Amino acid sequence: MKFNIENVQALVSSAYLVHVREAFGEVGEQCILEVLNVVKLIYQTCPPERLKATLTVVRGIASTPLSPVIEVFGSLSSAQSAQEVGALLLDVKDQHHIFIEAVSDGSFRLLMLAVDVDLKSLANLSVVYRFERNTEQILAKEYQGYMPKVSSCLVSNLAIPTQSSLEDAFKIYAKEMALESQCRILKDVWEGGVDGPRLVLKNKPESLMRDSLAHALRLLTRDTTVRPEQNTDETKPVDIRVEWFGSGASALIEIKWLGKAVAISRSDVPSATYTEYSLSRAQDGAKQLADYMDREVRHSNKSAPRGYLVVFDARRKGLKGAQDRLSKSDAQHFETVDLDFSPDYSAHREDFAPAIRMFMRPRESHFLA
Amino acid sequence: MNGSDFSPEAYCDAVSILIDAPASLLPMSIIELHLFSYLGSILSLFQGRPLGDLGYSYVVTTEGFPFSVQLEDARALLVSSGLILIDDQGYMQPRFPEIEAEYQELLTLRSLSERRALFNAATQCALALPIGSIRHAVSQSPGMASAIDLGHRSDLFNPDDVSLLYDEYKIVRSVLSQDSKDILAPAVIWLSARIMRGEGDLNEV
Repeated sequence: MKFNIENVQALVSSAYLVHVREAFGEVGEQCILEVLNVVKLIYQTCPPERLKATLTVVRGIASTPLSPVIEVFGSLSSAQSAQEVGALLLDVKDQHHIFIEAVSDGSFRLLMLAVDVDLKSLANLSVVYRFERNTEQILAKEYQGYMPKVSSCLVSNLAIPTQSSLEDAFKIYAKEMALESQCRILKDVWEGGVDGPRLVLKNKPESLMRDSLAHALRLLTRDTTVRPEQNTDETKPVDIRVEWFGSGASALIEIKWLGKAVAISRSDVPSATYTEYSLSRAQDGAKQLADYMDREVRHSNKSAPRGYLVVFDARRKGLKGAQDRLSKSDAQHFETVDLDFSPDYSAHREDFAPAIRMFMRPRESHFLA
Repeated sequence: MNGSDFSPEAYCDAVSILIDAPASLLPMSIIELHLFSYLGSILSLFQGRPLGDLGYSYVVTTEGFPFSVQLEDARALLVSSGLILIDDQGYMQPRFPEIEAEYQELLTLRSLSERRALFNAATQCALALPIGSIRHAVSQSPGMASAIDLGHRSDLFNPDDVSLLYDEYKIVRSVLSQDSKDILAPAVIWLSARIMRGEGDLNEV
């Protein structure tokens, strides 16, 4: 995006902070900040994935602890901290609509309803946050808008798990983003689109994989800089460099993909040709990374980086081309087949982590019956 | 700590950032403190305050983090005096009410209260945007981006970069209503534009 008036205008139209301030003035801004803080604290105890129905958090503009705005909807209970609220939400078994009001003495009022209420009437007197089916809305008087997501594959901007270890961040990325290609960058790697069969990758998908993983690591890791690097040749294979503040620690990430990708643009030739990579490609990546790390150590006074080979696994058994239809067993054959490296650098090098395989699932609706 | 480099402004800003940080942002890491401080300093420029009023300086480290030696000295002093507690993972938790009393004492000595709103807004940005996105947005801003690309440690806020920052803020201000008191919303929009710039998707910042 260019930093110009048109693009900034587009941002302003969806900027709920601006709209809440317009609706309720400076008091409204304080209320929305309080709501955001409370929601973040609640999600630190009860992640949004654990919610069974809707969660609504409100801050009344002029309410008092003795007259919370949600009391008109039913009998309230109280909690003294957001952590206590989160713990209570973890125990909710039924699909109730949950309403939380933060009141001015720092405590909370809670209400659970079997039937939803009209949020717009609530928004006349308060700033309202609503979580419902992985979307988040903010309401304030006439304003009602969705919170723009930083990452489409994360449930909430307010509940991003930051990891101190890269390994934990990889696990989240593999499960939440790579497995179903849900990251908005990664979804473009498939021939036929993410809603197609997801059998064949587009030509040269590695840069999209790199950008997707780098974007995720920026969100998921704490106190790091994450830099995608341009591969100039096989002697400099590193795709992403991660550095931690203060400790001098760093990580080099090399990305490889396995499976079948379109080799040449389809418009150039009458029939598609494909590039196919199997385990040997991952093995080559491991060797390139090990060689590069040897050189990096020799030429640098910094502490040795740790090397990670990340393998996007899009292998499909018996696949001939993008128009094929596979049985479920063939399409998912490699989902649980680990990569067997020989040599396995991680077994005898402390600076080389075990390879991280990220399987990319095909679309089940395209399987042969 | 080198006593001759002690910056009262940096000390005051470190205290106010930790006092005002929303509870969901605590405990805070060292680099988050420097990030919020640097962002608060950018917001100070946006509010038309002279760069010289800041009272201390920043560099971008070779790893790509905004960092102030004077702020770090102030932080170390706060730790050694027990006003900041360090947990097992090295994260900071302000010690209340002692640190609040320290801030009130500072206010009687210097006219630093106007700065508080700027650094408060800097931490509040992390309620609206994930801190990883803020870190990325700041790393792409004038002065930071070029130094990070080269992997060089270099001074921040050189005149050309400050001029570019002003230009960007003018664009943000021009599309907002004339609510000149509002610091937070323009800051979040400025950061969001930088985040979107990396992702190319208007609907998801």
